[in-house]
Amino acid sequence: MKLLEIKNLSKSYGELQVLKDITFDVSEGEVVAIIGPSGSGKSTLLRCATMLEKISGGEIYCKGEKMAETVGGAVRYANKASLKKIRSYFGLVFQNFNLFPHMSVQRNVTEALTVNKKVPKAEAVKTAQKLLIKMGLGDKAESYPCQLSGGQQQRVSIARALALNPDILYFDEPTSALDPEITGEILKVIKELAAEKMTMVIVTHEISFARNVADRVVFMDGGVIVEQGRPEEVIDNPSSPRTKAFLSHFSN
Amino acid sequence: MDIFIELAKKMSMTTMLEQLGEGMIKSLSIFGITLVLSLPLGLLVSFGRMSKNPVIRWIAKIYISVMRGTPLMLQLLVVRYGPWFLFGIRLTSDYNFPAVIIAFTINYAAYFAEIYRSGIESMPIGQYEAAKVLGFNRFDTFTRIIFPQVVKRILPSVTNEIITLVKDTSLAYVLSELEMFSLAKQIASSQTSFMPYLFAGLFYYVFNYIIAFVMERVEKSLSYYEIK
Ligand SMILES: Nc1ncnc2c1ncn2[C@@H]1O[C@H](COP(=O)(O)OP(=O)(O)O)[C@@H](O)[C@H]1O
Ligand SMILES: [Mg+2]
Repeated sequence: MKLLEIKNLSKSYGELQVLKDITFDVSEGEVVAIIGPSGSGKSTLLRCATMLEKISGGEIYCKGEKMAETVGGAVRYANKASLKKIRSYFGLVFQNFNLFPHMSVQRNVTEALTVNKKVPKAEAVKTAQKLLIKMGLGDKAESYPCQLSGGQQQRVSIARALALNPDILYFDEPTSALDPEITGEILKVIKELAAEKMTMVIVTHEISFARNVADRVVFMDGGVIVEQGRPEEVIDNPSSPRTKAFLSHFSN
Repeated sequence: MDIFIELAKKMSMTTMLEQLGEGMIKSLSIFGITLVLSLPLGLLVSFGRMSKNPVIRWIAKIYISVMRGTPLMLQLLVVRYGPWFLFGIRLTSDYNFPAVIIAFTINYAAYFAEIYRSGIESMPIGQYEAAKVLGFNRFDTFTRIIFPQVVKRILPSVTNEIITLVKDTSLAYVLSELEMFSLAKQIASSQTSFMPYLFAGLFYYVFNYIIAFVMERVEKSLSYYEIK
């Protein structure tokens, strides 16, 4: 089943067209890595898919349900109730975590469950504890984000997203705000999720990680998808000169 | 003979303190009621100031600018005598105290509104985005995620404003509301004594000292986390 379907998506900020005619989909259980130079529109694509930005044209479906379509040149989003439902299908992990600093680690994970999903507190706490243990943070439940390292904070934010049991999880450069020596702990977590068949779309600059963990690699440049395919094709044997030029920065 | 009249006029220490005590209660009431009313009103005004609707935004902007750009003393007089001069509504001196409260409240709400606004606008956009993706509605996002952090951010400015309010309460004398300071002045001149002034000074100092102490406690209670 397709969990995400994007058709002819365009996105402009005023005169600046950032995404041009993007068609892209993600099937259940798939792990997709998006790579590409900075400014190529990777974040914007994730932000459109997660409704943080309104699209300028095209269509988006989530789990087969219509999020937005374009009729006669005008973009139409689904009604509020549908969007609320659609929003529960995905989670997003930010580059700079965006944890709630005034809440304990556990509260960061339980808050959306208790407030938005009306899960009883005891049950939400159980879910949080399970996830925090899985993230290697079993002893940090009562800590506050400011007391944790960047890597630990990012793992809390992954736990926070997983708590809502999303069908698809988006990551926008989850390791870019971290010191190089601790990116490994986040990549390891993502790898474990991939092994559990979690559907994920990961924007990353970690090329070897993308090759390792992704079922499909998408190379974006200048607001378009230049090429995509199996990692061994796109990364080891790119067909486009733009992909080659980009990847040459990483070979060492 | 003269000396007996003089002695009779001299009030006892207890009467003096009793009268000053009444002034103290009046000052405290002006302070307390103003604070309780202007803090929420200020939040409302700050919402207006940040509203998407340009008409509401402009009304709030003008309101804030007038309140901050004219003396509080003038505002007290306008609130007290404006109804008579503008609409011919005659109000008795019973209206003095409510007029003081109204003027103080609308004045302080304007200052608090700007403090709230600066706090709310300084919140990182990522907090709103995380809340949105996690499914929080606008009300829960504000009350559970944004506002608690705003409180921590604005606490120092709010403390300053509260300390100014303590001292401003003495302005109520223009509407013949006998708070601490005007009573002290009155007693001092009738009794040719400096004592009431000392007492009043001590009152304001201790009052502000307590406020500083309480606010420091509040700040400490919020220091369990850091904000970027
Ligand atoms: N809110 C915005 N307003 C205007 N331009 C933006 C905005 N967000 C992103 N852009 C522009 O869109 C382009 C793509 O940005 P982005 O999606 O962040 O790229 P990437 O994530 O691949 O580095 C850039 O040129 C950026 O300057
Ligand atoms: Mg980006």
